[in-house]
Amino acid sequence: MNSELQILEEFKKGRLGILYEKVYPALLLFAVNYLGDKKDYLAEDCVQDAIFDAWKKRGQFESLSSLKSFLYTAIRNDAISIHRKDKVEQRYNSQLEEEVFFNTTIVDQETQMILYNAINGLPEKEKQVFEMCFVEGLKNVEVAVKLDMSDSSVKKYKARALEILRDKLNPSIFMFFFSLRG
Amino acid sequence: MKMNKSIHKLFDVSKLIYKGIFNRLTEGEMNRIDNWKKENSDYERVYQDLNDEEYLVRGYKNIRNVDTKSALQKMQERVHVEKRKRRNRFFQVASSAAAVLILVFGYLQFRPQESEIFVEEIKPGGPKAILRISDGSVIDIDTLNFILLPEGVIIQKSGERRLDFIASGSSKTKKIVYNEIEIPRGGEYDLLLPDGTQVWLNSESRLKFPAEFLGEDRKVYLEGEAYFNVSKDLNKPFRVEIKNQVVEVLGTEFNVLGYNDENAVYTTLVTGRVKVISESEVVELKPGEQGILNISNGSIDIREVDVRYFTSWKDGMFILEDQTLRQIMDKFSRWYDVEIEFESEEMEELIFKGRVPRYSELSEVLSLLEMTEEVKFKVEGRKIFVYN
Repeated sequence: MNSELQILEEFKKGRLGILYEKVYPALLLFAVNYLGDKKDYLAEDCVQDAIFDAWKKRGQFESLSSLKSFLYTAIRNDAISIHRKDKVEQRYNSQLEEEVFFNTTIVDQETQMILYNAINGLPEKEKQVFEMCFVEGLKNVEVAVKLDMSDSSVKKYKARALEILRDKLNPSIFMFFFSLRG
Repeated sequence: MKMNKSIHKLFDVSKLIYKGIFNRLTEGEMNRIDNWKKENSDYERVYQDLNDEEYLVRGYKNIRNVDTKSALQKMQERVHVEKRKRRNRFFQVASSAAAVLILVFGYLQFRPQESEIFVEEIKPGGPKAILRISDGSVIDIDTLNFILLPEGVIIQKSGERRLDFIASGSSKTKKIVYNEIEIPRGGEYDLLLPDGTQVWLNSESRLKFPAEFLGEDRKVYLEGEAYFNVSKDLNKPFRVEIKNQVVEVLGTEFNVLGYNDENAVYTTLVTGRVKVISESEVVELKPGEQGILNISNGSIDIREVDVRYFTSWKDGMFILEDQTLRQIMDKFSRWYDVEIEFESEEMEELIFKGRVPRYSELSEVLSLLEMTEEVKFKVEGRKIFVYN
């Protein structure tokens, strides 16, 4: 089980492994977006401080969403105060303080993180094939040679991978209801 | 807190955009994304990006390049140091905490009456149970840590919602005596029985089981719902008696559901093999099969099911597949300890499917259901009216 709740529960118990695996990269890239090229070396500290603050008040989070809300907000505020110290970048800063930039950056990183976690959660063979085909852009034949399998096996694994990403999602990814009559 | 609410919405939007990469979205889902996109042209732009394969591939590689290991290690050290500091400060904090308690208590006594009008959030269930041991006395589980019963059985609380029963083997009597655990509405608890069998008990359930499995079988009595992971013992079959049915196994995992307000008992097999015995029939289930006992005539039907739909509750999810609103609301009523009233019988038969984390607040779950626009809810105290 990899439910969102589990990530939170583990975090509260001081077991931080899944949080770093499944959430941290999105936070780091979010921070990099906020800090810009010249200051991106500060991103890791920004994120780590936010996580440490969250850990100190871990009792108050009731869902992974509320923990992540806290983290994104803390990272944003920290990044803005870093820029404020630097008067030259006043103009850049005003854009960063807008809510639209905050929202867009979250949706961007969150969606990519869900995709990454979903692909990473595929069974070993399906994951290898999927990465080679879609991430490295190799052709079926090339993948078949690399992995020493038949052409049709590649197709089979590719189809399986897509099927898993489509339907058999980790239940925690979706929280929804729909009526079968509508 | 306006900020927080809107961030939660962003998480939902992200999930929908992800879903849209691989799936055709429903009209309702499309509408939700469209409405969001319309708020700002930047939202439209990021949506286009996230539907562009090259963009996604670049993003994937960026994430893959993030060094999570060293960051994790650094944080673990920080957390470790902090914990140690805390421990040393404990006594100091404890004495000032006492002062705070007195203040809070004083406030509670003298607080103004009008605070009563605040609507209370209905929280999900949690670890609640009443344990009655063989001599009839009730043990307070909340304060229990460890107890040795006269029969030589040790009861130990080994987790926030878990009790271990350990037979020490020093039993002098050969008489079977029973312990009983009752889970109220809005409760759940896990048990480890003396033979190593694990049991997850759902709300409004009761399990009676021997302090030590001495006889030639391992027999327990269930009301309500439980998930069993039976430890293997080829010489001593494990038997679960529920209503007029017995489930007999040697070692396997399965879920049994049979509430008093239902006319059926559902036995769902996950692994291994089980026999389901009623007064008129004996059937054997294979993994992925479910036996449905008709209580009024003792007949047992077998059907194939996706076992996750029947066992996800123990892992903290409600996965509801092709269920009537009545069935769904019955589940919520036990877990949130609320009463349900339907406007019409017709509404009870509406079919839904859905997934929600079990530990969500009731209002969150109801608002998800309301998004289907097939149903509305009104909450008054602990009573929920279902109407359209």
